[in-house]
Amino acid sequence: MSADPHFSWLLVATVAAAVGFVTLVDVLLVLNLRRHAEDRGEDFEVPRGLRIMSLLLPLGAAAALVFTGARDLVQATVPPLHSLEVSASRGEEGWDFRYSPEVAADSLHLPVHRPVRLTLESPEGPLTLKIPALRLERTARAGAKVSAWFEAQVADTFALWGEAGHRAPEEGLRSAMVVHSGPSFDRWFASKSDLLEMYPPVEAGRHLVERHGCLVCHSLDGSPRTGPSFWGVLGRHRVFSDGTTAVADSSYVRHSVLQPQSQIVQGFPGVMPSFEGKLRDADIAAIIDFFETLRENGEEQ
Amino acid sequence: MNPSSVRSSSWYSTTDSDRLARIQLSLAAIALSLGLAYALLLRLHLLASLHPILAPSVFGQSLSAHALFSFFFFALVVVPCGVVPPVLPHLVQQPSLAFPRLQQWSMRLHFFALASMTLAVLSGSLSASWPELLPEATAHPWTVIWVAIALHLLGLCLVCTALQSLSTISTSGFPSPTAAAVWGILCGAVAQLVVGVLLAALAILIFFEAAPSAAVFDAAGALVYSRFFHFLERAAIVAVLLPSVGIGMQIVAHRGARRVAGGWSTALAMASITALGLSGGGLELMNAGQSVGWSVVQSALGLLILVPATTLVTNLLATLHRGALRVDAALLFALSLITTAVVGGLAAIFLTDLSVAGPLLSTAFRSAVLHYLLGGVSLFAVLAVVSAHADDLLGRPLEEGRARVAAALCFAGLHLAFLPGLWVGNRGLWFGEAELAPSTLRWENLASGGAAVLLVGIAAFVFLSLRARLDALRSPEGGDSPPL
Ligand code: HEC
Repeated sequence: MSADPHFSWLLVATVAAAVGFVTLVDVLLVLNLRRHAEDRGEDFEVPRGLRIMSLLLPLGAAAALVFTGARDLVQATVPPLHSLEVSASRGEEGWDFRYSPEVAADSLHLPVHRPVRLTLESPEGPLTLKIPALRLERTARAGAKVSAWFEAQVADTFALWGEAGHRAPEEGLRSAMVVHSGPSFDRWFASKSDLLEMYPPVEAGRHLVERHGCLVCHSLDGSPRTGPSFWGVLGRHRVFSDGTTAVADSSYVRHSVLQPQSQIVQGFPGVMPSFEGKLRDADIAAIIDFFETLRENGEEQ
Repeated sequence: MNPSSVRSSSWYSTTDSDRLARIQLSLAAIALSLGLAYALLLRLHLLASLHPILAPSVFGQSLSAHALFSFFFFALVVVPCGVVPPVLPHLVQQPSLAFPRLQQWSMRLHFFALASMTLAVLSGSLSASWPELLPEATAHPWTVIWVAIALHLLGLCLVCTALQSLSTISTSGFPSPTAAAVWGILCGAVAQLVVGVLLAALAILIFFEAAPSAAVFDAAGALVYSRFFHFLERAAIVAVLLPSVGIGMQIVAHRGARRVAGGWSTALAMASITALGLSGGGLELMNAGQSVGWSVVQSALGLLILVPATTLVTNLLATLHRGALRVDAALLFALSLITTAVVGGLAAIFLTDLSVAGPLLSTAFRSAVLHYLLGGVSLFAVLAVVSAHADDLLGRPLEEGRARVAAALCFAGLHLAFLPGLWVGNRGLWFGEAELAPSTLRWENLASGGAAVLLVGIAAFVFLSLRARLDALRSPEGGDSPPL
């Protein structure tokens, strides 16, 4: 964190001032012990130069701290655009860190050197999240949200825990913050966001079709959009713009997704982008499973 | 001891100032022992932190009980009710305090407030971090109501005492600029009036919050509440700190047989600390949803306290410089007081530095600051004044040699117990999190050791005072003080 030197500096200043003060007082005590009952020191006044110094020095220090404080506060309140958004709440068992509606984990995974905006919410009861390595602590009161942004500087694993209004760490809310190097975070994220791992094939196929934007051009109910509807696509007889024909089966679908320009369905423009490299074989298989349900005697209406 | 003289003026209807102060000191001592008992429980839990002995909810409740007894019923009342009354008449050269009834009412309210607070804690379910945060729904409504009553009465008690100090000072003419203690008491009484009124009002809100049908605070209201509370905390620090530091400086000057150095600058510095302390603040207010611009203004006001604080320190050192000091226990306590105020004050000023305030806010750092400024300062003020005025208050002086040992123990114990807090807090941690961040474990053990030393020091002092008091009661010809 950029503020770290500031923290250490303040601590050192406080302790140094304390030790200095105590030493001075002790020295003065020893020097000025009254040895006889009639001893009396004359009244002493602070010399003017010292008096002016004792006004100007703290004034300068205060001004500097106001300035740096204002700068840091503005910086801390405005998260950079394109921060990674993560929301945190209490799940069934432990934390629920959510990166998107589908991607969640019970420990906090972050890429190094990238701004992250963390939003904590707690529908019932106060909930506190603590990450001492970031000096981060936020408490969401019941029904309210709080957020903070930060940028992790070191790829490592750090302690993270929570409290549910007791001011003592709660067993179930002990977890970790894992800061990944960039590529390692992408790998983690891909494994977490693998729809095939999260859903049965038909469901995964539906989510894939939604996530990859197929529905911008294809409907599910039989009405044509830019492209033909997915309703009843399997088994349909096809005539292409070059006059050839085919029956739509699973290898046809695979072909249409990976090389859409090689066969253009008659009556439609050849605008479909290729999904080569974006959809894996297994993904397309799941989409085909989903297509199986899109017909009169399919499982889904 | 003549029993009829005891009956002729019962403790409840007495108007004798020293006796009232003695009763209020005893009430504060009871509260302190309860508060320290809870602190001991928390410390034992932390020592055994690898095998926690308290469930989290019990830990939270004990923390609330510790804070309620030690903060409200020791730190906040002991200086105005126990420390100021015995010294103020001497300071303003009056035979007694103005309006003795006010002190009597302050004592009665104090008594009933402490009684209802004890009831509240006994009645069971406090919630954690209360009353800094609103009680959770889990807190029993009766508990909430008893605490509300206790805080309301305590607020009124503080108002009575503040009015009495103010009127005593104003009837005796304009205080001399070098009367550091009078200025401190004057400024403290103003802050105390604010604290008393706010506390009484806050308690009414808490009371209604407990009524099942009327929830006063929604989520936004809860934020306003904690913001209000943080303001109260700052005002309380001013109310405790200034009279104590003033009295401390005066004891130092007295032991050197001279005046407090610096002339007007001392009085001015105290007045500006009061004004800035009441208006400035740090991020704790921001957390309660305030704008960035306003935070910067408040932080500037808070940081400006550095200037008058430096003036006070300079004047104190000048008072010591080239003097001829008579060292006794009272002087040692007064110097401990000022040292505690310097360390805690500096750390507190940094809590208004916006670069660091947010992360430090709810760590051991802020807890250490509060313990320095409220606990340490008020404790040393009591010990200094009791040892300086033992003749009046107890009827016998304390045994000097042993009182000095107690002073040394208290000084060492307090700093050992709370300096580590500044460090642990600086790592972003709260006490009790050592098992999660093992590097802080030795600091925490150091703090526990310090706390033990402090306890021994306080116990030694209480023992010496009781002994002096019993001596005076057994052979009354030595002291003309009234019976307790
Ligand atoms: C920019 C619009 C667009 C997008 C996005 C799009 N397609 Fe297409 N798609 C079309 C058009 C136009 C056709 C018809 C022309 C052709 O065959 O290329 C078509 C044809 C198809 C066909 C053949 C349909 C048939 O009835 O013969 C399939 C299968 C198909 N798309 C699947 C997909 C899938 C799966 C996705 C998402 C991963 C997708 N498309 C995304 C425009 C789109």
